Amino acid sequence: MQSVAGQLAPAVQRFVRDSRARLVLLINSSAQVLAQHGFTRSVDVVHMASLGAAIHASSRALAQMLGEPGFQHLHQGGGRGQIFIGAFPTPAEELILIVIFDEDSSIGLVRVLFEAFAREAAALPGWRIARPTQDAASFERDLEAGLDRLFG
Amino acid sequence: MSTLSELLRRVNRVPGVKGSMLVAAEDGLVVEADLMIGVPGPALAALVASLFNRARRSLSGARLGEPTFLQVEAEGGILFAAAPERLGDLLLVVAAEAWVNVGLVRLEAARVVGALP
Repeated sequence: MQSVAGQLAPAVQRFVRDSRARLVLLINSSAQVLAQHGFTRSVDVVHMASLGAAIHASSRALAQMLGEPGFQHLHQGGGRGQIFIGAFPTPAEELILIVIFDEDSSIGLVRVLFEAFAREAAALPGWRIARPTQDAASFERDLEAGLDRLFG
Repeated sequence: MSTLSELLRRVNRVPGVKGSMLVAAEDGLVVEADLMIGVPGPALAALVASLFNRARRSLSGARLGEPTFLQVEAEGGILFAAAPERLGDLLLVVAAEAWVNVGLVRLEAARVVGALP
């Protein structure tokens, strides 16, 4: 059976096509990269993944202070470039989709398509054989493998 | 009842109308909605705003000015989006059955928008 990362790629491509997003990054809560679109340098992916996971963790901590389990998504805009960070559950672990978009798209469109993407991604058959990788050793190994897969 | 929800209620009185919404044109987010059960408001809002913004850019490229009305017809129904000046950045979006009297919807929409304070 194809790996989860391989199965996620078509869903990410569809999301990019329909939302007209500029950059898309799919990570887990440990900032491991599962898929990306639009990045040309691995160093940018690593930075964006780390910052995205940190923002998600911070917003979750803020939500917990308010008595909420977490916010569904986070959006920052106002300028030409806007960022959307949305988390969703899968059978193995929680994933985070980071989307950078401009005036070709809109937050409404990204939100609607994110929900469809999350449903599709969570239903992939590959999750039956996947397992969360939270320890430091597997994190390093998976990060390297992920970057090799994405950038060759 | 707010002025905006009263506006939607009046548009919805036209036979064949399944619901109407006020949508932020730039963001594609619903500001106010009065829809029949089963009409997917957020998805409709996002997609219609996206279409409208594309039309805006096409018309601007063709130097035809700003779009004021967009109508999409399909087998299952009709979608309208109007951008009257009095609503600022908001679009009035109407979902209706395919057999709706289009002229009546436009007339009623223009009438209620014109009556806004």
